[in-house]
Amino acid sequence: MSEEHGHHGTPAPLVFSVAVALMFLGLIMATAGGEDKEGDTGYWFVFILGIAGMITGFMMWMQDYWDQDSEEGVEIVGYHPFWASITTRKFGMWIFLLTEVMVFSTLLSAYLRYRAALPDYGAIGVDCGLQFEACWVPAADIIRSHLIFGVINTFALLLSSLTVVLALYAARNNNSKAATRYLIATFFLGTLFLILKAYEWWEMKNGHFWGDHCSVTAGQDIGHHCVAPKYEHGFWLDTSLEGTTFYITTGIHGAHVFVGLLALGYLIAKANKEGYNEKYHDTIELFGLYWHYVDVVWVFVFPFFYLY
Amino acid sequence: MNNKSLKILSVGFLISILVALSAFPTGDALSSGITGSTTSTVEANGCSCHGPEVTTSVSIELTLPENFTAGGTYTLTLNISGGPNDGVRGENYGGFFVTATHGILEPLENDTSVQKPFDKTHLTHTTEGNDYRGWNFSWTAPDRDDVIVTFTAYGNSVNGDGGASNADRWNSGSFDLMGVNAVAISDKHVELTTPQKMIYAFTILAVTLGVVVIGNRMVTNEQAFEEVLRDAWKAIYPWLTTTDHKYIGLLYISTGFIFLFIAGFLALLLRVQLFEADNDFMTDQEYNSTFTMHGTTMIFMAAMPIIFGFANYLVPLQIGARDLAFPRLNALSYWLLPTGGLLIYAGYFTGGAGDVGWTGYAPYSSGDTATKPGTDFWVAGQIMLGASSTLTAINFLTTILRMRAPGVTFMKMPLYTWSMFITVFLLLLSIPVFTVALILLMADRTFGTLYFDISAGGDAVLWQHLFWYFGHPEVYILILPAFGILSEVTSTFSRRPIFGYTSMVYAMASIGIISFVVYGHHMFTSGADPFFRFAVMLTTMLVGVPTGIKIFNWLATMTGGSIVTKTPMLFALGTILTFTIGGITGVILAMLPLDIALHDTYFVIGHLHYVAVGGVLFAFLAGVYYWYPKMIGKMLSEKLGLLHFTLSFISFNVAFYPMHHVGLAGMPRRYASYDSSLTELNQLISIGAFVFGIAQIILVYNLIYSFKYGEEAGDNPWDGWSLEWATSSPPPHNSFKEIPTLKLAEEAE
Amino acid sequence: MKDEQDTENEHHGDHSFPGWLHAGESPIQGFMKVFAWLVFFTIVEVMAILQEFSFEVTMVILFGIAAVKVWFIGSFFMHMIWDPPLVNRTAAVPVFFLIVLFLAVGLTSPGAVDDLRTICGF
Repeated sequence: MSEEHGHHGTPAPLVFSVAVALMFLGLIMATAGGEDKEGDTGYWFVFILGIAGMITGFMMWMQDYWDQDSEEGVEIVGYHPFWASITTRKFGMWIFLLTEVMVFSTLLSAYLRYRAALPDYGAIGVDCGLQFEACWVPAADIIRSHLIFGVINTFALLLSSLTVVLALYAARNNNSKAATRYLIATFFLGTLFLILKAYEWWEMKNGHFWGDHCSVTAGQDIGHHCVAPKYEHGFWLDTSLEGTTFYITTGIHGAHVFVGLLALGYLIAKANKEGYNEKYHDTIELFGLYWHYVDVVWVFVFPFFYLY
Repeated sequence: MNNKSLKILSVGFLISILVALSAFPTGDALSSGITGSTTSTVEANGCSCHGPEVTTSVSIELTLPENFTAGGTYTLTLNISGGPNDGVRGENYGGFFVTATHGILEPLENDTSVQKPFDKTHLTHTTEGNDYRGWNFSWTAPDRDDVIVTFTAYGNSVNGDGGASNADRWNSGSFDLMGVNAVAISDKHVELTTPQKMIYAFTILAVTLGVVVIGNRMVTNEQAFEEVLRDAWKAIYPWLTTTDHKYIGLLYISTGFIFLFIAGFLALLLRVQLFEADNDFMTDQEYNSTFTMHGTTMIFMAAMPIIFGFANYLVPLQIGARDLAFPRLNALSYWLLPTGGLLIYAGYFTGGAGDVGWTGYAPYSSGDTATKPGTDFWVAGQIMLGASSTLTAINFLTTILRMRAPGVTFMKMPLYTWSMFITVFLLLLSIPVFTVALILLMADRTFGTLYFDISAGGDAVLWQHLFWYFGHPEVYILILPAFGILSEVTSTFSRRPIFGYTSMVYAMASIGIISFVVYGHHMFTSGADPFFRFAVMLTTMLVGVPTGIKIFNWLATMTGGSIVTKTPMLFALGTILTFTIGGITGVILAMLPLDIALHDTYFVIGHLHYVAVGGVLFAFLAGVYYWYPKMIGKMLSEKLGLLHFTLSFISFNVAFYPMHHVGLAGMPRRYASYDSSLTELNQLISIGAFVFGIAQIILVYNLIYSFKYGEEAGDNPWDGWSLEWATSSPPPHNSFKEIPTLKLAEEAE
Repeated sequence: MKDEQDTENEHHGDHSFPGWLHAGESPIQGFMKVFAWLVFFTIVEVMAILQEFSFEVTMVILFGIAAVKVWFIGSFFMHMIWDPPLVNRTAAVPVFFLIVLFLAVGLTSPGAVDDLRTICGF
């Protein structure tokens, strides 16, 4: 029917959509289904099936791009110079980034709302209550003793932004091997970021970050950065609003890093197969825009969740 | 990398996921009882943190009465014996967790050894209570005495070291208690809920139909069963895999209309319930899920798909582009719709669909009392639909900005394309906010986060802000395309270009921008900041101005032209009338002091249906009659169109106008009953609604009949001037062999 | 295809880093310098927090440094300083909408209003 067209039909969108629905079906039934509505663990299999389907759909989609020429060879002519000054895909990627701006603005607005509603502990003349429940005890205080991980993560992301740019310029200068190596370096830095984050989360969840517990009855000054009573049993996303906002915001950012790594995996596979060079390198630029945006978000998340 | 490596990679993925899932959390002993997120672990796996279950050494006894009467209160005792340190009481001696399938468990008064954690229904020990191995508590029986209540208890005998380890011993016990009128389990039969019955009935019907059709084919064409199926697959497969905007457009429109009828059916169920002041056609919970699914389906699964369907079909034709910028992404946008929609409806199979209203207000929607897992499906499906809309927005913006043919400058684009351009711009910036809100809601429900948990300091008004930040631009997303269609239809059927094209463009653009700063008018009674509410009243009044300009421009177009009264024009005229009424009631509701009285009454329902049905639906019906000839190549019957319009218009007003009166009299929305003095008006509304529903059958018949027997349409049956009329009906596969150049009317031959 | 070639040529020709950043022939060294600045500002941020200044000073420093880092990443790594104006204008689009979001969602809770009043002095 539409074979004469530039674009062939493909079952990938249908497969992917069905897989996403299966994934959600499994997740929801596994956590809220069953007789008692508290979870029917048999459904985790459906969840995994959904994830597998999503991976399959993604790979089916990529099949069409596997040939370098079909990926970058076709460009739609634009007849209005101002709007055609960048390629269609680059324009599309920028517009996509606008939606991501709204995503993180929403998360940060919610955080601002909750944080501004309570005085920070340590403010003069504020009674925080025995469990510090009337004050905002920020995640930053829990992290302070182990701040080095957050700093390493910041460096890792900044460096990974650099390596992506270097990969792009290496490709432009026809140095395919260097381009591939820089892409792999980016992948390792991104993975390092996620591993350190997982470690941080584990430590915080189990309350291992601070040695001393604040003993308010004994008059210990919480300015000495001890663990507030409300975090005695660990700092997790269901402990308090500080935890919820911290884990969800950094978690969604981490999820974006993870998806970026999946895309990067595809790029590295392509780089291994044919190599990016001065003729074909637009994909690196497109990926780079997304990756730099993820870095930009971290530039805001880091000071306002880890430092302050 | 070749195919083989890809396969290996995907297997590797799967294995790593499986490994990750098998990682089990270990924990410290919970001396202060089972609360928060540990609850679900214990309910699923018992006191698993304390070691593997051992059945012999620990025994659990729950003393129960012989049976229970409805509503009675009983004191129950749970005792555990056996395990380490038996008989040697001390700190950290024992723990328990008990839950009941019916009724309410409560600690006894002044008993500090038992607690019922906040927002939970089970009982567990406190820090004090872990010094015992026996506990008393109270249980209140449910209102029915014909059920069998099952108590599940976990008893933990610990070795006193304060940690959770294999040295502790625990066991579980299940105890049944029969009500005085209960029947033993083997005598009960499984009762299907009404929605389940309907869905099974339709499935059986569809399968029977399939068998009949396949059988008929086999006989008529003398084909084997496999051949019939293969032919069917060959016909269907291109539809499943298409990336062509015209076919995707048709898929969207048909899916949208199917959901439109489902949602309309749900509305009729509501009107049956409201036929009497205190009807028992549906339970309250069923009523709640019915209006929830009606609203969500109408907006997200009917209106928006129909909007996207027309846009997919027409926008590339109107700007002279071959297809959208990203055709495969377009296909993904479409397929997320039926799959996401089915996910939302999955609730009906699991004990009840989402019942939180299409607005899903927290903390009801984030708590335990909203229907589970129906509400979770409602949330997840909408996340999928949100992703679909975001991709559509990106696609259309790129297309309209970058792929216009030579000569198609912005101020020469048809007004329908302009309306879609502003619509997708609004979508781009508002849908992500809603999708994030849904993700936060899902996190609260599934992972125990506290975004909307009041006791933890969460703010219910946060949900309202996030929802309406999207929700208000959303209603303009619904109406702007309708405005676009109105402009096209009124100008074609007044035989003159639209009056004030430039002001139309600026009006739509300003409606778009202002729509982001008016959303507080949905929150007038929420206790939001007074200055915020006042500011928003002013901006809401402001947004009526460009809308009014548009209405005057349509009227001026008609008075300055010569009107051709065909069905599309009839619907356009009707739309302008009903939408204006809806707009006026909108300004009434914008008045903060009035809204405080009218909020959540039927006055709002009247307003919203006048703009959504009277505005959006009628305009799209005009669009159907206008563009069906282009898409299908056949003309629709004018006689049936006139009948459809007349019946629809009259019954619509009969159904929805009285809602303003009933609302002013104080009838609240979302209630399954009302004051008996309003019975006659409500019955009138219900009758009007049923006639309106039946009237749509005329349209369906017209669409199907004309597909086979309609008059040939030709390229340009209405003598329109936009580019879609320059190609054949239907357009060829490759819409434009060469990209055309738009010239001024004076330059064309 | 021709359009794409033209856009490419624009890129290749004009990698002029600002004077104070200019580092020899290759743009690679320019990017390294950008990275060095980013690292420097991160260190400043962390040091500033460890000093525990007052709320207002801390906010100014954190926001200021975040803005500077974003400018660096956007202009150079994301290529915006060399891209056609379409890119800059596209990126500027959400600014109004996210300001509305921050003000309406972030600052209308009761506690925030009091804080705002205190900060703004009325």
